[in-house]
Amino acid sequence: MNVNERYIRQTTLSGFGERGQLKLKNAKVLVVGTGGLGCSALQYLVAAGIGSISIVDFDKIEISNLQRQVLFNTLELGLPKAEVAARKLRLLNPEIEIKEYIARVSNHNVVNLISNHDVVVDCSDNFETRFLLCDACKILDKPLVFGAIYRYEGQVAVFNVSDKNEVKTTYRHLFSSPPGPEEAPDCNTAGVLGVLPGIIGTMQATETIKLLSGVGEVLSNKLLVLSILSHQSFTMDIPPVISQTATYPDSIQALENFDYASHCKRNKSSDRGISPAELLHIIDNDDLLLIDVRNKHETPDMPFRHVRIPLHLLSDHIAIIDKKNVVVVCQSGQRSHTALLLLREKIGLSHTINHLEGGIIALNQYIDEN
Amino acid sequence: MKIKVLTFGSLTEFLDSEFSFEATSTDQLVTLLSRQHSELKDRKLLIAVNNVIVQKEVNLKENDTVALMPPYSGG
Repeated sequence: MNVNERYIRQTTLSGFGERGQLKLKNAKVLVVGTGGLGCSALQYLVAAGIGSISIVDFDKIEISNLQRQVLFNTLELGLPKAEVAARKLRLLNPEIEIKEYIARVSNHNVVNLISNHDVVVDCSDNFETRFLLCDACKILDKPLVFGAIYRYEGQVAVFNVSDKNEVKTTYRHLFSSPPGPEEAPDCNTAGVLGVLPGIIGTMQATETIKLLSGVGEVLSNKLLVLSILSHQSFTMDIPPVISQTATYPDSIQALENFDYASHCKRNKSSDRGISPAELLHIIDNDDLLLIDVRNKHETPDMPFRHVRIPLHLLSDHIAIIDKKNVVVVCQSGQRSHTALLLLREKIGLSHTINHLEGGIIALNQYIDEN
Repeated sequence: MKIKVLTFGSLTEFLDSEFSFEATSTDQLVTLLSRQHSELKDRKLLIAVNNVIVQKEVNLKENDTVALMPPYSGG
């Protein structure tokens, strides 16, 4: 057998060897998302010599990505992430096949995307995609290497892979249904230390390489949680028990008809908020009450006269509302959307309720630009 | 029962990451904590008792460790 110098440091590893390398070469891996997790996982998967890697991402590179999405640089702002990532990864390893798809994964394309692959790596950043991948991989019986982060903590698991007792579990064994968007803010809203997705994405690549090559034991039916503040990690067993009230598609046809947007309580177009420009237009009106529903400590401050009522306290403080027109604001527009629905239900008949699309982040950006 | 509670993610913004608590079951634990911290009310939570995830109410024993964790979506 010809020895490939590129992989010599791993083919000389006992337990891995040329056999492990051949298994990687024959494997096809789909990586969903080229954000912090994807940028990290992809580099090691490509370098390790996985034979075929597909990258899916619809997004473009923004300046606030560069702190953690280390495949991209300042000259590439505005370019599609999947395209830039694929170009660089081909230079890293021209011996493998890399395909990029500039697309949003949906229930209409997910089956086609996943079908030709041996393993799916979930590097996405939202629950809609996470639950979609979970259900699709379950239906198609594909291993799913899961990674997710929050501020200083990360979760890693390997779903749909049998343990010694032939037991398989999925993300729905952790959370049978999605939380409301305000309960689990993304990196844009909550903030994240850039090294965290680097570590968690590398752990996802590790699990993928182990799974394909057969070395070690993967995190099947286990959830690993790592805190980078304390370097404590916790591994929990996931029993094959799912909440009986959970509803999710269990066939390709049901998957294609499933409404993941409303399943994940994503904003509907009828609930679209007002833009920063529209808010500034009415900001001085006497009959306007601006309510900031973020928690007490959250910054930046709202630059206009307002009252602050954290979302979880809002229903107990309806009496405070003494104006006909109400605009609810939060950091990114997710929690204010929930508040909008709550206020419309309680006082929608007597008041006009709106919320600020994109939140204070969008407002400050608009003010800076104008 | 005196138990140890571990909290993760956004829960650590209003709960200590580790504390002792008196509770007889996982449901009672969440109910009592939600009374003290309204942020916890109706929250989607993963509950693990002694490092095993539970989907239903579980009775607690002295010195059990209960982990409470919200889902993370960031990537």
